[in-house]
Amino acid sequence: MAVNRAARAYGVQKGQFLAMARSLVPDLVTHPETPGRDARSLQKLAEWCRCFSPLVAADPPDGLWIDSTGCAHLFGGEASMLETVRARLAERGHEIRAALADTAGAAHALARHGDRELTCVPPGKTGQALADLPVAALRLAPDIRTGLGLMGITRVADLCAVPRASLARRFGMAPLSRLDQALGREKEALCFDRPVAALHARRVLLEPIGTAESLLHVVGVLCDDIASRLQKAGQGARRLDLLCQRVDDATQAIRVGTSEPVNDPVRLCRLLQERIETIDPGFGIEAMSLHVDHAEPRQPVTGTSGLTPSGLVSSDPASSGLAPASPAAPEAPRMPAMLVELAERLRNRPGLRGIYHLAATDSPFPEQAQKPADRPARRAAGPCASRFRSPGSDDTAGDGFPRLWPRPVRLFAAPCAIAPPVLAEDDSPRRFVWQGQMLRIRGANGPERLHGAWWQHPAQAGAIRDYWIVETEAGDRFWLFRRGDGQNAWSGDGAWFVHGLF
Amino acid sequence: MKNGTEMARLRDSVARIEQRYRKSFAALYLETGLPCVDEALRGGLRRGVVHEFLGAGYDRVLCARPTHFIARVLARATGPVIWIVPAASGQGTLTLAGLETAGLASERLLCVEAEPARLVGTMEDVLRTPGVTAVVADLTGPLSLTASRRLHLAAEHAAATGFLLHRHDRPLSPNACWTRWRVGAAPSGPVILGRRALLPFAEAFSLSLLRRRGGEALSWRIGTDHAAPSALPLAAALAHDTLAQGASSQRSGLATGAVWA
Repeated sequence: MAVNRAARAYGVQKGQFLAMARSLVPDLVTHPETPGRDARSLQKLAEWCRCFSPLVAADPPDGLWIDSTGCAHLFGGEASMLETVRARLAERGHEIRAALADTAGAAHALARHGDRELTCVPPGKTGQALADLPVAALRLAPDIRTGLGLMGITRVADLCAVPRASLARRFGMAPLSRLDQALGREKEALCFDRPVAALHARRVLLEPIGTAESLLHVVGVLCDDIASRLQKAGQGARRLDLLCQRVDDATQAIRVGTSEPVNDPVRLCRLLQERIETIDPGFGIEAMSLHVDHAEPRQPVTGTSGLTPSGLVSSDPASSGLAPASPAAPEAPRMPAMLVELAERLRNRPGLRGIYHLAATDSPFPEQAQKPADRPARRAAGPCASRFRSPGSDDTAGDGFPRLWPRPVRLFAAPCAIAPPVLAEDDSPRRFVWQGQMLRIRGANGPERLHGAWWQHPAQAGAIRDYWIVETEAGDRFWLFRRGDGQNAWSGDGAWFVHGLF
Repeated sequence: MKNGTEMARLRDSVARIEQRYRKSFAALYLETGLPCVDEALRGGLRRGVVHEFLGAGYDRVLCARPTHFIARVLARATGPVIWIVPAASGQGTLTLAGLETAGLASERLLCVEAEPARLVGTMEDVLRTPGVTAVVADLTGPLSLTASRRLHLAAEHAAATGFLLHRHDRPLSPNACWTRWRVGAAPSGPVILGRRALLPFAEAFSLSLLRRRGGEALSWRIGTDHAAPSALPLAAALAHDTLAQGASSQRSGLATGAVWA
């Protein structure tokens, strides 16, 4: 029934007779088919796939449905979500073909019959993507498939061209409804499994509701319920799923992540409230349930100082889209609770690419001197009052060495190349051309020589940059640098750049 | 009963309006740290409103000088600062080292990368969050009158201050911001030492208040004495390898020592 990659290399194919396969590979290992065990392990895999989306269903014999609505942005877009799914399943030893499309039918067809392993169909392009697929991609019964084949209808595009009435007369409604489901003209309700969550609350509503206010009211009730049970257990939620059952049997889901275990009903409610606008109530919602997908023991907060213990301030990597944070430093700075809550709330919003603090690195070149971090960097001193301090004060860079030279607040994303400036006899630039104009320099500070971090980037071995702060006659201050020391070719090619303005 | 709750809500909103006038001076204004400007504005930049800033000349799109000015103003205040930047703008990035030399500590700063279409909406949302001191947003296009009114209402509601940096060179339309500033260049006299002209670390700049509500336009030229004098530690720079060794023999006229701005 199924063949692994090693056997395929020897020419064994799916659907071959066993005797023929044995003749190709004499020591072929075979296992009898066990539909029950296959179904169970597929179900287990579906449970595991809940890390991608709350709405997951097994599609026997060999498929999984994942409803990615509202989840793709957590992985940095739809294409990268597919890559993540493939990479994480490959870690578990599964080779997959996957497709992401507007409709379940189209995704099903493209995953099995598409010409690539990973297919991501942009919204509205479903029809074009399906046109060249065989009719078999449409989940039709075998007799209908052969019937269509006899009539010369082999591709989906041919099927679209046939008048609907004659098709329905000959084959019944099945091919038409499958076609409409794949193209999104007809809705298809998939039966998603309810997650086996330790904690969940459910409210069945007397009348279907559809307004944001009434949804919010039910969310508030559910949050109160869940929060009181979490508080009793001494736990806090890290990931929550809100499932809304619509009257037409479709399920809408919202997933939110928190940056620390939360059991405050107001805070939970506020997180969910932000996302209510993404629910499409359709003809009405008749039941809502809130599942705690992931809970952690909550450390008691001591006192009411308005500060949280810094050890708790770590963000959920799945929800932030950033790299997982390094373990907390023993003396990590305290961040106002309000900033933690704000960052958590914003991380759950679509349309925001990143929420981060700037942290200094020990890289000498300015464009690599900072990186986004989930929590602010540790600082020894309190807030500094002024830019210009006396030399005795603790004006140090992140690495503890005193910083002698000022830095601009903004850099160009990529240093802008300029023609080599005219140099004075003491090596300082005199004139240079910027945006087509010759600028005379009245004063220059420098050079500040920076050596490349050869211990981090082999390409930077021996690289040298000489930075100059120059002021033009109009008063504009530029930050220029020369790649190389101007004498030795190994230190750089001597090209000049403008890196930023002061 | 209904009348009672209605009255309580009215009293609450009246109290919130009155609160603004009862607060201390520091809670009403953000000091700029420039005495002449603070005096003319009767205390500094007003809190709970939106101020917009423009760059000038070569700095029009990068807005380095306005950024530095805002960072210096916010360095004198306390509380969290949210900086909203457009995602993948590719025009210019904030640098931590520069902001820290301006005095803005990194633990107070939270950066939010938003898609350009959602930038103003995000700013309004963040402004309404209680506890935020200031929100700075890098704009990539002009702001509409409606959007600026919404921002103004949000800032007034939560007493947070909004700063808009116009990082584009399109013309601006009238809007509901409280003040509009342009921070431009001004020559600072270099110190001539031998054959070299050295710059004072503090930078001179020109500051124009282009428009403000209920007041006339003003303009200043800020010299290099706006900050405490600082030494340019040339001796240390010479002792290490920050000056090219091979060329040092040609620099006979170069003096060493501290230069006071």
